[in-house]
Amino acid sequence: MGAPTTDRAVPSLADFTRLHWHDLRRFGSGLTGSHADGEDLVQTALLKVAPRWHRMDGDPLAYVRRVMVHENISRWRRHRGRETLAADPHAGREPTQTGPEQHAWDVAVALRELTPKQRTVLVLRYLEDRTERETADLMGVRIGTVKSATRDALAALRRVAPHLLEDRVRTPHDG
Amino acid sequence: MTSPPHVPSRLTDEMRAFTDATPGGPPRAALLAELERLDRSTDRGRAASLPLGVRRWGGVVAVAMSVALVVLALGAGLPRLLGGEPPVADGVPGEARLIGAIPDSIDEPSRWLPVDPAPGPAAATIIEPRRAQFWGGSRTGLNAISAEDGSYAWVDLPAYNVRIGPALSPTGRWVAVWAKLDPQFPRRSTDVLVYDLTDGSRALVTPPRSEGGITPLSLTWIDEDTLVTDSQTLPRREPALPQPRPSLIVEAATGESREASDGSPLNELYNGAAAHPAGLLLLRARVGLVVDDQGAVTQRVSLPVRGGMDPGATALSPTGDRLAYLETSTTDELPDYQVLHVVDALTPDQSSAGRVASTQDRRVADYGLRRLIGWVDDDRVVAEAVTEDRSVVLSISLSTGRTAELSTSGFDVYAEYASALWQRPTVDRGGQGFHLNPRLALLVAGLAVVVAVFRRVRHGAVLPDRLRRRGVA
Repeated sequence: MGAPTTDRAVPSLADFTRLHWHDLRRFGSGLTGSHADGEDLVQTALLKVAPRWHRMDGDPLAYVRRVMVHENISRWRRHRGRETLAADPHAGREPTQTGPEQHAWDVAVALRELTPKQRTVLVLRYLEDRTERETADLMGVRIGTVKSATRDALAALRRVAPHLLEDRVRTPHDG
Repeated sequence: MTSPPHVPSRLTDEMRAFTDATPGGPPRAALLAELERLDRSTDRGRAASLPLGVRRWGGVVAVAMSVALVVLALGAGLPRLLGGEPPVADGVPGEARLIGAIPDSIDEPSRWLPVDPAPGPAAATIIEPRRAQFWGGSRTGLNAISAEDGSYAWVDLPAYNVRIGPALSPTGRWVAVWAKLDPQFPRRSTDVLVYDLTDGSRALVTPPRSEGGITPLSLTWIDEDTLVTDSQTLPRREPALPQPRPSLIVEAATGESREASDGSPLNELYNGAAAHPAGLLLLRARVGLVVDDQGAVTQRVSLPVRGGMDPGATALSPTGDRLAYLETSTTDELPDYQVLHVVDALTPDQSSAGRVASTQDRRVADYGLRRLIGWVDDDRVVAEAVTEDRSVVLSISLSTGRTAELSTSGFDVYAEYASALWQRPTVDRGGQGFHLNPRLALLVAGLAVVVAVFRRVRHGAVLPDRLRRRGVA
């Protein structure tokens, strides 16, 4: 006995959400540089694709991720210059800790210094190991734009967190 | 050989560590509930709608039917039906009767006045030479303001180029224009059209033709049934010297006309006419002609005018024994001032001339006198004056020089009044200038129906159930 069968090629949106929730949240965290903003981004993208869910062709997961990429950049464009942080949650926190928590704090601060487009390029190129063409297709831009955004992102990181750009001495235990 | 792109391994590792640190847990229940609700509503929408192909054809059919309906309506003469063509009647029966009063203020008429070929006696009329129509093209007509209730109506005239007029008869029953007639009318020449506002009938008066053509100059009602027109011609041999044509006396009730002339060349502007106990008095710029019933000139008088006079600057008193005229002074004493004089009508020598008022006087100084309209009674003259932002009809007392505002209108509203009604008090009948255009309302309603049908077809609620069932997968 299984789930009721439908004539649709895609699962229901709620089932899809349950199945891919964590993966989408991880992707959202990378795109926004914040776990909370990442969750907001996932929810917004899911609500946006809901009206078109049954007309979708192809991979639903890829489609939702593409919507997240564009929504993240669009939201930044809409609210640019109109939203300012009244208080930075990271302000006053000295990097006194060490270990994974300190590293997560470092990269979160660094990512938030970048524009959404620069963060997206870093996530797609270095976290998901996509090629420049794949990244350009997913973002809907030209390859040249991907290259320049990558260069600008690394330059910004070099200013705010130069240690992130150091090559780690890989040990045999590293993957 | 190219080296592979440098990948900062620490950045990759730190980013992966950051995203892996994303808090776990299932999605929020509220989010899942909202997604399931959207899912269900989308399912219902798909089930209620027809397949895309059927919806497209339904939309095409709806649009085609709408276009066909509009074309059919236009072809069937719907605009003409809605606009209302004035009936054509021969003969103008009935006797003059004084009805109603002139409003205290006259508004700019609405562009969407209802068409009424017989609105009844008018207190005032405002000509609109070329009014653009909603369906295209333009028409000539006038706005008639009812003497009875002050309502506004639009009267179509079978003319497309009004040269002189309108001239409203003293009681407001007839209106006359010198006009080139509409191409739909049998003749296209410049003729006098007399329109009866009480029943929509009209009479056409064609002056005798002349070699140099006819240039109309004026229209004046000398009593309720009699109209005097004047014109001139441009001889081909001396086109620079226009020759006055004999005045034409028209009976409004029958449309009959006769000429009046003394046969002498008069290179003067025509300036009005009035009935006088001694006969018909025809006024030119500085000359008055008394004409008998046969049209023969029996007396010729000259006005003691030193300065300038414009057309429409004279008015004969109700008893006919006194003449008021408006002179533009050129003397050093009153340079460029408008001066109102009153003289004996048949002995208008300098000794009888009396200065009543001038724009230099304190009581008139706020106004610029534009023209004389007539008399209220033997003591008060009616004149139109202008201020910075409005046009005012004033009564000016001959005995005291006191002025009183009778009616006002917008600066650009050139109204012609029923002169006999000045003998009555004006009444407050404001706020009747706005009207909704029935054609515009009909078009908006039609568009709303088309949009409603289109939307219903798109959602599958108009086509038969059989098709709708086919649309449910």
